[in-house]
Amino acid sequence: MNKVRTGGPDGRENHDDGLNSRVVMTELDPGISDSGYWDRFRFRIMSRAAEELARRRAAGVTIGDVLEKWSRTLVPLAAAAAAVALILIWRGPSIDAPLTMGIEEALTWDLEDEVLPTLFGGEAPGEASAFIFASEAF
Amino acid sequence: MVVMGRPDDSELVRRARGGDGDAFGVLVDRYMRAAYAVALSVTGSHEDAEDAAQESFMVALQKLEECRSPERFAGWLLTIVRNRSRNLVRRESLRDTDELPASARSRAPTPDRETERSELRGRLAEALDALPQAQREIVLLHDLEGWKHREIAERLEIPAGTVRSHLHFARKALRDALDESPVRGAGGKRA
Repeated sequence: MNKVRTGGPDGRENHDDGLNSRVVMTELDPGISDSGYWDRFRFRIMSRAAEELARRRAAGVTIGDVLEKWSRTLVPLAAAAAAVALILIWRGPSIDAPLTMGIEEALTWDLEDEVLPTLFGGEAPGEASAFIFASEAF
Repeated sequence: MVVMGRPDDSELVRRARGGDGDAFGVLVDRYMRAAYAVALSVTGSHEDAEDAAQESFMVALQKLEECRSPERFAGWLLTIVRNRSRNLVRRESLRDTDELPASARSRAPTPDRETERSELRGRLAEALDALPQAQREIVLLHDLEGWKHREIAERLEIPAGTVRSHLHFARKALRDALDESPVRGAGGKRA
Protein backbone atom coordinates (compact mmCIF):
# COMPACT_ATOMS: atom_id res chain seq x y z
CA MET A 1 0.00 0.00 0.00
CA ASN A 2 1.20 3.49 -0.78
CA LYS A 3 2.42 5.72 1.93
CA VAL A 4 0.55 8.99 1.82
CA ARG A 5 2.97 11.84 1.59
CA THR A 6 2.42 14.99 3.54
CA GLY A 7 3.48 18.51 2.74
CA GLY A 8 2.59 21.35 0.43
CA PRO A 9 1.93 21.07 -3.28
CA ASP A 10 5.51 22.05 -3.91
CA GLY A 11 6.78 19.35 -1.59
CA ARG A 12 7.48 21.62 1.37
CA GLU A 13 5.98 21.04 4.76
CA ASN A 14 3.23 23.44 5.54
CA HIS A 15 3.75 25.42 8.73
CA ASP A 16 1.89 28.55 7.73
CA ASP A 17 -1.12 28.02 9.93
CA GLY A 18 0.18 26.01 12.86
CA LEU A 19 -1.92 23.06 11.81
CA ASN A 20 -0.61 19.61 11.11
CA SER A 21 1.12 19.12 7.83
CA ARG A 22 -1.26 18.94 4.93
CA VAL A 23 -2.25 15.89 3.07
CA VAL A 24 -1.07 16.08 -0.46
CA MET A 25 -3.96 16.64 -2.82
CA THR A 26 -1.94 17.17 -5.91
CA GLU A 27 -2.66 13.61 -6.98
CA LEU A 28 -6.16 14.85 -7.74
CA ASP A 29 -4.81 17.59 -10.00
CA PRO A 30 -5.35 16.43 -13.60
CA GLY A 31 -2.47 18.63 -14.65
CA ILE A 32 0.04 16.55 -12.73
CA SER A 33 0.02 13.62 -15.12
CA ASP A 34 -0.95 15.67 -18.17
CA SER A 35 1.04 18.85 -18.57
CA GLY A 36 -1.23 20.22 -21.29
CA TYR A 37 -4.43 19.59 -19.38
CA TRP A 38 -5.06 23.12 -18.09
CA ASP A 39 -4.22 24.68 -21.44
CA ARG A 40 -6.83 22.50 -23.10
CA PHE A 41 -9.27 23.20 -20.29
CA ARG A 42 -8.85 26.93 -20.82
CA PHE A 43 -9.00 26.59 -24.61
CA ARG A 44 -12.33 24.77 -24.42
CA ILE A 45 -13.83 27.50 -22.23
CA MET A 46 -12.53 30.28 -24.45
CA SER A 47 -13.75 28.54 -27.60
CA ARG A 48 -17.23 28.22 -26.18
CA ALA A 49 -17.13 31.78 -24.89
CA ALA A 50 -16.16 33.29 -28.25
CA GLU A 51 -19.73 33.61 -29.50
CA GLU A 52 -21.00 35.25 -26.34
CA LEU A 53 -18.04 37.63 -26.25
CA ALA A 54 -18.68 38.61 -29.88
CA ARG A 55 -22.35 39.19 -29.09
CA ARG A 56 -21.36 41.43 -26.21
CA ARG A 57 -18.98 43.42 -28.38
CA ALA A 58 -21.69 43.90 -31.00
CA ALA A 59 -24.27 44.86 -28.41
CA GLY A 60 -21.82 47.32 -26.96
CA VAL A 61 -22.44 49.78 -29.80
CA THR A 62 -25.80 51.23 -28.77
CA ILE A 63 -27.72 54.39 -29.59
CA GLY A 64 -26.54 55.67 -26.26
CA ASP A 65 -22.93 55.20 -27.30
CA VAL A 66 -23.55 57.04 -30.57
CA LEU A 67 -25.21 59.92 -28.72
CA GLU A 68 -22.40 59.94 -26.24
CA LYS A 69 -19.87 60.25 -29.06
CA TRP A 70 -21.86 63.08 -30.59
CA SER A 71 -22.17 64.80 -27.28
CA ARG A 72 -18.41 64.70 -26.90
CA THR A 73 -18.18 66.95 -29.97
CA LEU A 74 -21.32 68.98 -29.56
CA VAL A 75 -20.99 69.90 -25.92
CA PRO A 76 -17.64 71.69 -26.31
CA LEU A 77 -18.92 73.47 -29.41
CA ALA A 78 -22.07 74.59 -27.62
CA ALA A 79 -20.02 75.72 -24.66
CA ALA A 80 -17.71 77.71 -26.93
CA ALA A 81 -20.67 79.32 -28.68
CA ALA A 82 -22.25 80.22 -25.37
CA ALA A 83 -19.00 81.74 -24.20
CA VAL A 84 -18.73 83.88 -27.33
CA ALA A 85 -22.34 85.00 -26.94
CA LEU A 86 -21.76 85.94 -23.32
CA ILE A 87 -18.72 87.96 -24.24
CA LEU A 88 -20.66 89.85 -26.91
CA ILE A 89 -23.54 90.56 -24.55
CA TRP A 90 -21.18 91.69 -21.86
CA ARG A 91 -19.41 94.12 -24.19
CA GLY A 92 -22.73 95.67 -25.38
CA PRO A 93 -23.47 97.16 -28.84
CA SER A 94 -20.52 98.83 -30.50
CA ILE A 95 -20.77 102.52 -31.55
CA ASP A 96 -19.06 101.72 -34.78
CA ALA A 97 -21.35 98.88 -35.51
CA PRO A 98 -23.32 99.36 -38.74
CA LEU A 99 -26.99 100.19 -38.42
CA THR A 100 -29.29 97.40 -39.23
CA MET A 101 -32.55 97.90 -41.09
CA GLY A 102 -35.28 95.82 -42.55
CA ILE A 103 -35.85 95.28 -46.26
CA GLU A 104 -38.85 97.66 -46.42
CA GLU A 105 -36.93 100.31 -44.60
CA ALA A 106 -34.00 99.89 -46.95
CA LEU A 107 -36.26 100.28 -50.00
CA THR A 108 -37.87 103.46 -48.77
CA TRP A 109 -34.77 104.90 -47.20
CA ASP A 110 -34.21 108.53 -48.25
CA LEU A 111 -36.94 108.43 -50.96
CA GLU A 112 -39.44 110.92 -49.49
CA ASP A 113 -37.67 113.99 -50.86
CA GLU A 114 -37.64 112.64 -54.37
CA VAL A 115 -41.23 111.42 -54.62
CA LEU A 116 -42.86 114.57 -55.93
CA PRO A 117 -40.17 115.47 -58.45
CA THR A 118 -40.27 111.93 -59.71
CA LEU A 119 -44.06 112.00 -59.85
CA PHE A 120 -44.16 115.12 -62.03
CA GLY A 121 -41.30 113.93 -64.18
CA GLY A 122 -39.38 117.13 -63.96
CA GLU A 123 -36.29 118.33 -62.35
CA ALA A 124 -37.48 121.87 -61.59
CA PRO A 125 -39.38 122.40 -58.45
CA GLY A 126 -41.17 125.41 -60.02
CA GLU A 127 -43.42 123.20 -62.14
CA ALA A 128 -44.81 121.51 -59.09
CA SER A 129 -45.52 124.85 -57.44
CA ALA A 130 -47.39 126.07 -60.54
CA PHE A 131 -49.48 122.92 -60.52
CA ILE A 132 -50.42 123.42 -56.87
CA PHE A 133 -51.22 127.05 -57.52
CA ALA A 134 -53.41 126.23 -60.51
CA SER A 135 -55.32 123.54 -58.67
CA GLU A 136 -56.06 125.86 -55.80
CA ALA A 137 -57.15 128.65 -58.14
CA PHE A 138 -59.81 126.50 -59.86
CA MET B 1 -7.94 49.45 -10.30
CA VAL B 2 -4.69 47.86 -11.46
CA VAL B 3 -2.05 46.73 -9.00
CA MET B 4 1.44 46.22 -10.41
CA GLY B 5 0.08 45.47 -13.87
CA ARG B 6 -2.32 42.88 -12.50
CA PRO B 7 -5.89 44.04 -13.08
CA ASP B 8 -8.29 43.25 -10.27
CA ASP B 9 -11.43 41.22 -10.74
CA SER B 10 -13.80 44.17 -10.90
CA GLU B 11 -11.83 45.72 -13.75
CA LEU B 12 -11.72 42.39 -15.60
CA VAL B 13 -15.45 41.83 -15.09
CA ARG B 14 -16.21 45.31 -16.40
CA ARG B 15 -14.14 44.68 -19.52
CA ALA B 16 -15.55 41.18 -20.02
CA ARG B 17 -19.06 42.65 -19.92
CA GLY B 18 -18.08 44.63 -22.97
CA GLY B 19 -16.89 41.48 -24.73
CA ASP B 20 -13.18 41.77 -24.00
CA GLY B 21 -11.89 38.25 -24.54
CA ASP B 22 -8.50 38.97 -23.00
CA ALA B 23 -10.11 40.10 -19.76
CA PHE B 24 -12.35 37.06 -19.63
CA GLY B 25 -9.31 34.90 -20.36
CA VAL B 26 -7.51 36.31 -17.33
CA LEU B 27 -10.53 35.48 -15.16
CA VAL B 28 -10.50 31.94 -16.55
CA ASP B 29 -6.78 31.60 -15.86
CA ARG B 30 -7.24 32.91 -12.37
CA TYR B 31 -10.13 30.70 -11.30
CA MET B 32 -10.31 27.59 -13.49
CA ARG B 33 -8.42 25.44 -10.99
CA ALA B 34 -10.52 26.66 -8.09
CA ALA B 35 -13.67 26.02 -10.09
CA TYR B 36 -12.47 22.51 -10.81
CA ALA B 37 -11.62 21.95 -7.14
CA VAL B 38 -15.06 23.08 -5.97
CA ALA B 39 -16.77 21.00 -8.66
CA LEU B 40 -14.69 17.99 -7.67
CA SER B 41 -15.65 18.51 -4.05
CA VAL B 42 -19.31 18.22 -5.03
CA THR B 43 -19.28 15.61 -7.78
CA GLY B 44 -16.38 13.42 -6.69
CA SER B 45 -15.80 12.66 -10.35
CA HIS B 46 -13.10 14.12 -12.56
CA GLU B 47 -15.25 14.11 -15.68
CA ASP B 48 -18.22 15.71 -13.97
CA ALA B 49 -16.03 18.27 -12.24
CA GLU B 50 -14.52 19.20 -15.57
CA ASP B 51 -17.94 19.57 -17.20
CA ALA B 52 -19.41 21.53 -14.32
CA ALA B 53 -16.45 23.89 -14.06
CA GLN B 54 -16.37 24.65 -17.78
CA GLU B 55 -20.13 25.04 -17.95
CA SER B 56 -20.03 27.38 -14.98
CA PHE B 57 -17.70 29.76 -16.77
CA MET B 58 -20.16 29.92 -19.64
CA VAL B 59 -23.06 30.59 -17.29
CA ALA B 60 -21.01 33.23 -15.49
CA LEU B 61 -20.21 34.98 -18.77
CA GLN B 62 -23.84 34.96 -19.85
CA LYS B 63 -24.99 36.31 -16.49
CA LEU B 64 -22.16 38.71 -15.88
CA GLU B 65 -24.57 41.61 -15.37
CA GLU B 66 -25.99 39.76 -12.36
CA CYS B 67 -22.64 39.91 -10.60
CA ARG B 68 -23.59 42.88 -8.44
CA SER B 69 -20.20 43.09 -6.73
CA PRO B 70 -17.59 42.46 -9.41
CA GLU B 71 -14.82 42.65 -6.83
CA ARG B 72 -16.34 39.48 -5.38
CA PHE B 73 -16.39 37.68 -8.69
CA ALA B 74 -14.60 34.61 -7.30
CA GLY B 75 -17.23 33.92 -4.65
CA TRP B 76 -20.02 34.51 -7.15
CA LEU B 77 -18.41 32.17 -9.70
CA LEU B 78 -17.83 29.42 -7.13
CA THR B 79 -21.48 29.62 -6.08
CA ILE B 80 -22.42 28.97 -9.71
CA VAL B 81 -19.94 26.08 -9.82
CA ARG B 82 -21.40 24.58 -6.65
CA ASN B 83 -24.97 24.85 -7.93
CA ARG B 84 -24.14 23.48 -11.38
CA SER B 85 -22.25 20.60 -9.81
CA ARG B 86 -25.14 19.73 -7.52
CA ASN B 87 -27.56 19.82 -10.43
CA LEU B 88 -25.25 17.60 -12.43
CA VAL B 89 -24.98 15.08 -9.62
CA ARG B 90 -28.74 15.11 -9.18
CA ARG B 91 -29.38 14.56 -12.87
CA GLU B 92 -26.78 11.85 -13.18
CA SER B 93 -27.93 10.03 -10.07
CA LEU B 94 -31.42 9.87 -11.57
CA ARG B 95 -30.08 8.74 -14.93
CA ASP B 96 -27.68 6.19 -13.49
CA THR B 97 -30.29 4.48 -11.37
CA ASP B 98 -30.82 0.95 -12.63
CA GLU B 99 -28.54 1.60 -15.56
CA LEU B 100 -24.97 0.95 -14.57
CA PRO B 101 -23.18 -0.74 -11.75
CA ALA B 102 -21.19 1.60 -9.53
CA SER B 103 -17.92 0.24 -10.84
CA ALA B 104 -18.78 1.33 -14.38
CA ARG B 105 -20.01 4.84 -13.68
CA SER B 106 -16.89 6.61 -14.79
CA ARG B 107 -17.42 7.82 -18.36
CA ALA B 108 -13.89 7.14 -19.49
CA PRO B 109 -11.87 4.23 -18.23
CA THR B 110 -8.77 5.20 -16.33
CA PRO B 111 -5.84 3.72 -18.22
CA ASP B 112 -3.57 3.59 -15.20
CA ARG B 113 -6.15 2.39 -12.72
CA GLU B 114 -3.82 -0.29 -11.50
CA THR B 115 -0.88 1.97 -11.06
CA GLU B 116 0.37 3.31 -7.82
CA ARG B 117 -0.87 6.79 -8.55
CA SER B 118 -4.32 5.59 -9.37
CA GLU B 119 -4.51 3.72 -6.07
CA LEU B 120 -3.60 6.83 -4.19
CA ARG B 121 -6.12 8.90 -6.13
CA GLY B 122 -8.79 6.40 -5.36
CA ARG B 123 -8.02 6.45 -1.67
CA LEU B 124 -7.96 10.22 -1.62
CA ALA B 125 -11.27 10.37 -3.44
CA GLU B 126 -12.88 7.99 -1.02
CA ALA B 127 -11.47 9.80 1.97
CA LEU B 128 -12.73 13.09 0.58
CA ASP B 129 -16.10 11.57 -0.09
CA ALA B 130 -16.51 10.91 3.62
CA LEU B 131 -16.02 14.59 4.50
CA PRO B 132 -18.83 17.12 4.85
CA GLN B 133 -19.20 19.26 1.72
CA ALA B 134 -17.86 22.45 3.32
CA GLN B 135 -14.72 20.71 4.62
CA ARG B 136 -14.18 18.99 1.31
CA GLU B 137 -14.39 22.25 -0.60
CA ILE B 138 -12.08 24.11 1.75
CA VAL B 139 -9.44 21.40 1.90
CA LEU B 140 -9.41 21.16 -1.90
CA LEU B 141 -9.19 24.91 -2.37
CA HIS B 142 -6.37 25.08 0.15
CA ASP B 143 -4.38 21.97 -0.61
CA LEU B 144 -5.13 21.43 -4.27
CA GLU B 145 -5.58 24.96 -5.54
CA GLY B 146 -3.23 26.56 -3.03
CA TRP B 147 -5.47 29.34 -1.78
CA LYS B 148 -4.60 30.89 1.57
CA HIS B 149 -7.00 30.94 4.51
CA ARG B 150 -7.63 34.62 3.95
CA GLU B 151 -8.40 34.11 0.27
CA ILE B 152 -10.81 31.28 0.99
CA ALA B 153 -12.52 33.32 3.69
CA GLU B 154 -12.89 36.35 1.46
CA ARG B 155 -14.00 34.50 -1.62
CA LEU B 156 -16.42 32.12 0.09
CA GLU B 157 -17.51 34.91 2.45
CA ILE B 158 -17.05 32.91 5.61
CA PRO B 159 -15.01 33.79 8.71
CA ALA B 160 -11.31 32.96 8.58
CA GLY B 161 -11.66 31.04 11.85
CA THR B 162 -14.25 28.80 10.24
CA VAL B 163 -11.88 28.14 7.36
CA ARG B 164 -9.09 27.12 9.72
CA SER B 165 -11.43 24.94 11.73
CA HIS B 166 -12.82 23.19 8.65
CA LEU B 167 -9.32 22.68 7.32
CA HIS B 168 -8.06 21.25 10.58
CA PHE B 169 -10.86 18.71 10.92
CA ALA B 170 -10.79 17.84 7.22
CA ARG B 171 -7.08 17.05 7.32
CA LYS B 172 -7.42 15.01 10.46
CA ALA B 173 -10.27 13.01 8.97
CA LEU B 174 -8.37 12.53 5.73
CA ARG B 175 -5.25 11.30 7.47
CA ASP B 176 -7.25 8.89 9.60
CA ALA B 177 -9.13 7.59 6.57
CA LEU B 178 -6.02 7.22 4.45
CA ASP B 179 -4.15 5.43 7.21
CA GLU B 180 -6.92 2.91 7.66
CA SER B 181 -8.62 2.49 4.30
CA PRO B 182 -7.75 -0.33 1.94
CA VAL B 183 -7.36 0.48 -1.73
CA ARG B 184 -10.76 0.49 -3.40
CA GLY B 185 -10.08 2.18 -6.72
CA ALA B 186 -11.08 5.61 -7.85
CA GLY B 187 -13.92 7.28 -6.05
CA GLY B 188 -17.37 7.10 -7.56
CA LYS B 189 -19.89 9.88 -7.91
CA ARG B 190 -21.84 11.27 -5.05
CA ALA B 191 -25.56 10.89 -5.14
